Amino acid sequence: MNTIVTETTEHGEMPMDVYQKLANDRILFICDSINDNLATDIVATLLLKDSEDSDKKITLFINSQGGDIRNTLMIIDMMNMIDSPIETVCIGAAMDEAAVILASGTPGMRFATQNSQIAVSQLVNDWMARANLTDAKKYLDLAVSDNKRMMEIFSKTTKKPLKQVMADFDRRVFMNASHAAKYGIIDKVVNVTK
Amino acid sequence: MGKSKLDHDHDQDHLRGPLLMGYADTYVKLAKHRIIFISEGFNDTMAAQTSAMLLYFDNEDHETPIEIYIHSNGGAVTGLLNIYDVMQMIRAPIKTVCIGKSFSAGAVILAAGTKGERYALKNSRVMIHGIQVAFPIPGHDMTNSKNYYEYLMSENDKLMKILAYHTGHSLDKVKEDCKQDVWMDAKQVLEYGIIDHIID
Repeated sequence: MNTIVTETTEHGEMPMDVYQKLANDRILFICDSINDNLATDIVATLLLKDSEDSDKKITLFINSQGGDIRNTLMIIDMMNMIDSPIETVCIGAAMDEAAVILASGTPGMRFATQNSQIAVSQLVNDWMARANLTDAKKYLDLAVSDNKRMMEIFSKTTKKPLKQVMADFDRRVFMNASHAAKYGIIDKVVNVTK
Repeated sequence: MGKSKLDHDHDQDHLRGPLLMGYADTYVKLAKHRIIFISEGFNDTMAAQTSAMLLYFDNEDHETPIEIYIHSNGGAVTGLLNIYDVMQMIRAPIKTVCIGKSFSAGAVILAAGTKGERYALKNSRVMIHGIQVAFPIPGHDMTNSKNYYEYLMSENDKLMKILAYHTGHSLDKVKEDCKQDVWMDAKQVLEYGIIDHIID
């Protein structure tokens, strides 16, 4: 899909990537499964935009089925590290790991569009390694602690006790925007009806 | 099971199927002498075939020993336990012979032969270890992962008990040893109690 548009500048017609242009305006897209490439791009852009101006907000548009937990936690750590306020907007869907990023936006600046879908569940494995049972136990422990970390983030961002969050999300829960707002994953539903 | 073929032997005219094709499979001829070869990875199909052969031989004559020749890298635990249970169930004595290699599941079958009837060729190799798994399974959430791990542990315990029983070692020693791969030559296998005799 072509995302290059031409733009008239003082140097004449310049080709410009839509996403790059939006990134210049501090709008980033997490619209793919959260993999190494996407996470690295997001983190790099967050750092760059924060260094340019740490008072202006950075907006993350999210439409993702989730992905790798390591990369997700990296993005969240970086979001918490930089000084710029981070606005998260769910457009379409934010599932599992993507929902954690959505919930981790600056309090009061977490939105979802009216028809978007949010799903939260406990961590689901997406990788596999060949091991003996001693090592397998370590992999299990790692995944369990990642899951706990994820739930701690939900507990912090939704201001609910960890125990309740873990019980609520033991099985996958699908929420529409207003449910998510009620639960505290987002702050406000964006009305897009005209 | 096997693929090798011999020229047709007219003394073996009772082998109707192979005769029609003009040759008799070596393994069919060996089966005539109650010899089974385990020469591939353990899987459900192979386990079903092996246990069918064992049951058939036992039904035919439950006093003459059945011989199992093992040359295997091991494989699925379900297949192994299937064969093991049938071996323990039938009445005929079972002679196990390690030819070449008996790794992992193959070593358990080797050890599970009738006491005093377990052999290894002089240059054969044996390796024992606990269950090896691909873990965690993608798509499993934490609840399922934990349950699956529990299941694996119980399967591993079963295996360790089997090895401990047939080698005469304590369960703790076998469990400790099997935390990593243990490679043994014929002499060491004899010492460990997996076999009773070395064929020189």
